[in-house]
Amino acid sequence: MATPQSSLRSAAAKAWDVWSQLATNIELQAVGVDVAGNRLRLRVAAADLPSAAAVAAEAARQLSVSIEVRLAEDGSEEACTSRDNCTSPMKAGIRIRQGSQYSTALCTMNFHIRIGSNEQFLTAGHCGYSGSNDWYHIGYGANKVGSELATLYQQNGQDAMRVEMPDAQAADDIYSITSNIVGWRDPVQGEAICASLGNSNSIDCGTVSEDFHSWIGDSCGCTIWGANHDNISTIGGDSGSPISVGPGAPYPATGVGIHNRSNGDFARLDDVLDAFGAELVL
Amino acid sequence: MPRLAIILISAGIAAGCSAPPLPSPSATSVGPVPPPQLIVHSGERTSTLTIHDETGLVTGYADGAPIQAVRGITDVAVANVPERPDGLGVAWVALPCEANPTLMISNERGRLRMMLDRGPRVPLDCESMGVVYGITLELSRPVAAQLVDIEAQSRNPG
Repeated sequence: MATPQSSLRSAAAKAWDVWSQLATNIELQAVGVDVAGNRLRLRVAAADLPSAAAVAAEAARQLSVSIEVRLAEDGSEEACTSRDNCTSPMKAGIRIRQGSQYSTALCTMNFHIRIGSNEQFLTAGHCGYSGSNDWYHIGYGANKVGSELATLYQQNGQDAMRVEMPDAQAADDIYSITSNIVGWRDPVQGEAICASLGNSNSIDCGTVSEDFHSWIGDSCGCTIWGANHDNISTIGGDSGSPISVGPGAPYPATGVGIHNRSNGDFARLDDVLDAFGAELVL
Repeated sequence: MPRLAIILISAGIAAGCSAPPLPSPSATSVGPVPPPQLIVHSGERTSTLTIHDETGLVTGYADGAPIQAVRGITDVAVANVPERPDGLGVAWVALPCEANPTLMISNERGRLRMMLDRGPRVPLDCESMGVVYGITLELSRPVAAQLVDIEAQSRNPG
């Protein structure tokens, strides 16, 4: 049963005292209310992250709410210095590599999603059409970020797939865009959009040329549905790059797509989330 | 990792396990000798690389680059083959439809200059995955990778 927002706020107010009684050696740095996730979100330093889980479990019991522990924002900035070195948490728009951290296939991490309580990331479906199911990020070292869990890249499908990731690495951040992602919706023909391009290492903006569009997927030879953008220049490795409306009023960084092809074809984020039964990590 | 296999060498030179020599004009040739071409592999994908060597330094070439050239690549890179100072690995990232690149090698003020032209996109548009290709050049003398200037260019469709 959902916890009312007022109950979450009340629990958030008590969380500081409860935490200080449970863990004198782990400094709590921030407390937030995650209404969409129906839980509190507590932030600690990177070094405290492993030991904070047990404390959080007891705090959740005492406060009668679910609690998620995340890295404090300051730590996030320090650990994200390039699109090849961005962890704790990872951000949409960073580079990912198939099969090993130094592989010969390169794509870009899209937005992070949640299915139930499990957090994953999206990318272009064709990236996983052949070869290894395992995906790596250089900054994460020799450990894989995760394996492909499901794809929509099939006849009359969409060029998108979801990949597992450590929950602690999930975030609502887009690389090089200061605004966090605040929601998602369908693209609208003619509106301005921006992409955080992984291998191009740039933010490039254009417009939605067609908000509903189909093409033949090069890898599968099958009909793929999505949309198309103009005036965003891409190179090899940009597949999966997050496309958003904004940042800027009235929709600061609202997610709309997953970059697919060099001519601007992209997957419609809202349709992908519906097909996967997922929501964005916000 | 790219497969280390020589598939095609132009001018009728047989493929072998070691890098073959570049073809040279013969007395019976008619017209200019075409630049050598090499089919390079990246997983299941292939690309046909044309090599224009203005320096005369290149004596052979093979599919696949050492990990030192491929590691962390996002555009184009060059690295010496470990313990082989006359071996130079060149790697680049391309779209799947950029399958006819050209590598131009020249001298410029005492440095080796390389320009990797990714070539035309055929078809004009394709999925934007990054495909990493690599070759290893065999040179007539050692050249340190630090003395090589390399860049790549793409031909974005109008």
